[in-house]
Amino acid sequence: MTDSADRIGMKETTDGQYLEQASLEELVEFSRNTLVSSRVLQRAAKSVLYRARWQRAGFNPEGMKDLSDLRRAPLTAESDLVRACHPSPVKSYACSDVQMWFRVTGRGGATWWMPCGKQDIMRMLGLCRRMNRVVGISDSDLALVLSQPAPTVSDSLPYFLGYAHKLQSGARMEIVPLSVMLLLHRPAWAAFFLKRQPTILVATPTDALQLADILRKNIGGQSQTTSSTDSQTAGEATSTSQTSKAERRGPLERLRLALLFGSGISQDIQKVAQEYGVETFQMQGATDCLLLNVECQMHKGVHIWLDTCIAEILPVGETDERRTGADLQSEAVFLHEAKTGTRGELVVTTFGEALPLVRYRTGETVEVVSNERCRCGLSHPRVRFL
Amino acid sequence: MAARFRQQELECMPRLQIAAFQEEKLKQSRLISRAYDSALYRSSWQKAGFAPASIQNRADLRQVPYLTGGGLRDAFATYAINDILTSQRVRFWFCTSGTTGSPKWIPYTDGDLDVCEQTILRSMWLIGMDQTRLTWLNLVTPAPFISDGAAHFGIFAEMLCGLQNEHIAASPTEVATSLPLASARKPNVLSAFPSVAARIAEGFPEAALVETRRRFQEKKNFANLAAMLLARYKGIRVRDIIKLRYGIFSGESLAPYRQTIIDHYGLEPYELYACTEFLCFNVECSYHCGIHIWLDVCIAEIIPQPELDKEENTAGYIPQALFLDEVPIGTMGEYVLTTFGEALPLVRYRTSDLLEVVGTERCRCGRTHPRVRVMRRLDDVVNMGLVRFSILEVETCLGRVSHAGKVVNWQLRLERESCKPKPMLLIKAARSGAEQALLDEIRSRVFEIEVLRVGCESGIVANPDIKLVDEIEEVRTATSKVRRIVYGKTW
Repeated sequence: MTDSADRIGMKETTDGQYLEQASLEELVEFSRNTLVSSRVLQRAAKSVLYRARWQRAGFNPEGMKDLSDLRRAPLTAESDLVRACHPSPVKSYACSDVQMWFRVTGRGGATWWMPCGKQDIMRMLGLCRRMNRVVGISDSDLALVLSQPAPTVSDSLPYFLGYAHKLQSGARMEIVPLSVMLLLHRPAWAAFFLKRQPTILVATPTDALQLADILRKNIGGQSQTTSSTDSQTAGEATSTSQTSKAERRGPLERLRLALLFGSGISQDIQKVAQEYGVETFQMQGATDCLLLNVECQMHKGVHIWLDTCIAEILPVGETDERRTGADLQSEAVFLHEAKTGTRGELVVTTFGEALPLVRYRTGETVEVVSNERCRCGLSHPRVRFL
Repeated sequence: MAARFRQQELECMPRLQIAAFQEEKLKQSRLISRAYDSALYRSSWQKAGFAPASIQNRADLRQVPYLTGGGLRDAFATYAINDILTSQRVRFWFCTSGTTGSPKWIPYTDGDLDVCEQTILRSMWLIGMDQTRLTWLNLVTPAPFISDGAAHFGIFAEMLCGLQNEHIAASPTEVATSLPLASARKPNVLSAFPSVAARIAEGFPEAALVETRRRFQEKKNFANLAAMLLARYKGIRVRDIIKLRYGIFSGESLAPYRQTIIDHYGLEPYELYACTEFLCFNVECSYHCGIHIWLDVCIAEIIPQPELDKEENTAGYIPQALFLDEVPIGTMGEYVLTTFGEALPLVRYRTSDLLEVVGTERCRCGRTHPRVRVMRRLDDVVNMGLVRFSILEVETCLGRVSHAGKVVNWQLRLERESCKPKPMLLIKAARSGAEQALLDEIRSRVFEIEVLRVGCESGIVANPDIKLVDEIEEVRTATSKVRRIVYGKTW
């Protein structure tokens, strides 16, 4: 750890690697302590996002003593965030000093703003390092990070990745940040990637496929788009996406893995795996909740980092999707208590500094893979995105 | 207000010590021997026949051949990248706009980023932005352009030194969607291309009218009615909504836009000079008498205009450069840069930027680093700030004119309409159809230069005037080379 990392408080936020390795019981205890002692909900109550809704629902965060009390809190839907930010976030939207603002585009196309405090940035840096460890990124890797222009989270992702290493250990990791939107107008840039040959691709599946298309059209790569079977289940996709490693078809010859983020991407992951012939890893929560949940090298589901959030599963079927949060809030089960095979919407309560998301409905339907310790050694529960 | 310094010893170093400091750094950084190992320099230096060990002080640098943008670009096309790099610990890559052909990709190590962070903080102290929590509105161009990275490096630099500012970043395509947030958060610092800031200011009254109308329709109350009437009859400027205090402007000369920006934003504008090849924040101080070039992080030279003319005039002539801190005030010439970079040091890199030296004595702010004014580009880049393209692109698109005639000769005159760049294209043509048809065809071909089309559509650049003329009054260089770009009196 460098002095500079120490100066900005990375030590306490990211030195806790033990949490990465902790048992499920320890993680749950950590979550409970964080929720209660860090007064996450009491801080959140300052935000206009929650204040009126919580009052209407008769929810008082002061009474929080245990995890189970969280289930009395109303759910937060994307529409609540959009409403709180319309026409723009008022001063009392964020709960503490904001360092950066990110715009999030929701599933319906509406946008809302996510404030990010200093501790939130520190957490992201720590999670970047954790992600690298979990997926097996080494110091000699070169990452091509495809981003959307500011003010999106993805615009900052390459710098979070880079500074996670710069500030902590100075460990090597070379990064080329790249807006795909610009690449569309400057296909000649692709010549550089072909020469430098990245080993890691970090992108949304859409951007990854677009890059492949640009490379193919402009550089004469030999890759061929292979469509995945739409009817394939996510589980099958997760496991079969790793089978095509041997067939390297893409022009990025040294590319060895792709980290794919965004919501509702499970179906497209297989396409990227086939397009590039690489091992793929799904990331979740990066662009809206400032979480970096990621699947490990076992490829048996995405680990939900329980030291950064409290996760619940809202067991809703398709017909229930329009029901209000008030009807549903008591039906959610904690992820760490959910049985394998439980299906439902992933709900997270983050420990965010600038704006904790309390019982935020991610809109992602998941299936619980396991709460048992994974073969990779980690106890953070795993879910499969459907 | 008393001047504030981040690194007073370095910033106010007596002028005579600067050369000694640079020479010490030249030795300590092993600049020449490291660079000699790079394929970028090796062969040209071998041809020049000097031994790295013979470069002991900065005057010895005159033995070293210049590096041009073309040379840098060619090296990346010719050699393996690892043979070019002088450190394998690259953290980030950024690239130039590539207006003169393929872009230049520039590597940065953590050490290189430290220099960048250091000069960012130095600039903030210099302007006086270290004393209070500030909210920034950063209008950045997306990665891999360096302004995207610079905004982030600034945030990390602030965090490292304990400043906690708030940042709203937006790329040019996202400005409209970010303005509501900006108006709510009341930023006090704007960082942008001057032309983009001027364009936003120009379109703001109309946008404000639309927004106040929408709000009144949404909620009919007295406040919304008053706002709508104000917007309609008096006009709302940015300064009426957002009380900005500082503006940091880079990417093009601030001078043509300075007054417009002051009028519309009511802020104090500061000009910043940096480039992708060397991300060092050189900025003017609050006396606004030129941009301070930090000589403790680089060795700066200038090739005076007469030498540039002589180079054009005499085949094979190698122009002589002078050290920036030693030239007379008023000297104009090309900026030549030597950096101590880790990933890829630039040694006598000709930036193609034309500078005017405005001061080499100690500034009233107390700093001793020389002050310059950035005039314009010297190469074949048509630089209209955010909108940049090459002469070759104009040549190519005009070469495609074929239906209503053919372009025989052309000249692009750059003027300004108010503060906005106004291209005027003079065409000598062999007509085979109606004049209007030919003009239409030329216009449509010119707009094949996408960045120009987008620049005009978004109002950053005024629509080009295209005129058919019988003869073009050619402007030639001393070597009789035709100058395609002519900077007019209003530029």
